[in-house]
Amino acid sequence: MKSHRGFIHINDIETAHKISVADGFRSPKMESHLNAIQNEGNIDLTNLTHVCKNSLIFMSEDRHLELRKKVLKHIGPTKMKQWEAMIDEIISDQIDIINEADSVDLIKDFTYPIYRKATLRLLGIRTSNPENLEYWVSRLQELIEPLLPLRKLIQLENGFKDLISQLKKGNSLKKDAEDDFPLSLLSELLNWDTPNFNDDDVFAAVLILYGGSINVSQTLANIIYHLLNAPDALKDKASDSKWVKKNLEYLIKIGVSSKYINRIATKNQDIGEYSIAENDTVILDLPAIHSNGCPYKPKPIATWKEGLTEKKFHLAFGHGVHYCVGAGYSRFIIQKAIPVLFNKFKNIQLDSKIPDIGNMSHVTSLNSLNVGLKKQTND
Amino acid sequence: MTKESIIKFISTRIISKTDIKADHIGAEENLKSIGLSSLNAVMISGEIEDEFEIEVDPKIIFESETLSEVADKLMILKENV
Repeated sequence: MKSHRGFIHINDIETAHKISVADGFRSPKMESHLNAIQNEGNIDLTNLTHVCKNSLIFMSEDRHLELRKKVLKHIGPTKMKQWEAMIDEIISDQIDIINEADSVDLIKDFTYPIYRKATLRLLGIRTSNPENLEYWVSRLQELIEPLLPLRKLIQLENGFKDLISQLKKGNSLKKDAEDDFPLSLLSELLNWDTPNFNDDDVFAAVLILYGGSINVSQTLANIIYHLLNAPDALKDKASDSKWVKKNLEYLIKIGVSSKYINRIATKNQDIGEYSIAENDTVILDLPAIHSNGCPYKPKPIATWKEGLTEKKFHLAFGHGVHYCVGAGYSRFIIQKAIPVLFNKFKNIQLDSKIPDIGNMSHVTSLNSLNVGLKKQTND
Repeated sequence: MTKESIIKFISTRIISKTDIKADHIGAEENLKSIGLSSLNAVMISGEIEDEFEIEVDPKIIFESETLSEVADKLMILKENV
């Protein structure tokens, strides 16, 4: 992607890494941007502003660190073991559903339900209108696009106003599911004694986390697509959990759904070959940085071999204080789901060589992933 | 909708939102020198949408060197509606 005035695209991993660790950058101040639009245009963006105020992507300094620490304490990588049985059960249920189905779309039947069921329980989200929740949450990813048009902001405001109200209603009526797993993040946060986050902040923060976690489904689907397109010798290895664990970082690198990480320069600075001015938006272009090339083009064996052995470093989850809080959760699910799927369906094949690519400009994702299976009648 | 009407409309909006004087804005004026903010771009794009009934990405203002170039791009968008 081309750079233009005020927006600098970074396409190489060395510069991207330097920017990720440099002090002279901050997150986009979406809350103040939306406040300015409200004042200038006399437009009500109250709910959207509130969502952005509580999004870890747009937060900074003490409030950001406080929420980040609290979230990681509950759903960070070291906490995944306590959710393992739940995630295993969800994956197993979806495998059973696939096994019974006449035709299989691995997004509709596998990656998306795993994300949705596991994340809803983990976060504690309940709503009386699931379709509404899924629709607006899927549009949450639009918020990371710089310079979102006014019409989209107004659409999102109306959608989130409705959604937050429903979410609060849903959660005032019920408690966490009665199972053996820990309290949901929402329950933990509602009991949190801190002056910096009231109940409305907590609802918004959890909603954003749910929306952000959709990357799990998208990235898992992308990885499965790449594995289905891999040479047979490699595809066969996907049923081996040790192989998946060993090669997880490269699989995430080629499958990551997020396309861009945006940082705002806080001073004039030269990094690599780039002269960056204060307030410039620096866009880390992940597919280019990861040298992924055309996103769904099958990779030849040489590229796989090189990637699996040498080129594993990636910025799929960001870096530093804004390193994705869901990274451990994503890895855990991907690492579990892939070998179970490929082990159960040894002869799994794509129905079509032409990928059904989604049209969101800032996400690499598939709309569907139709496959043929040679089903097993017993274990 | 003519190229001239688009340039005139955007010039008027820029003047109303910034300290730029009318005689400093022309079709070939370098937009970089005007120094529009992200807020200006979002608001002006919204007003262009209402005025000319087309969907405009605010990035178009930053991706163009001059108002003339912006107007050319908007004309193409309108033709494709």
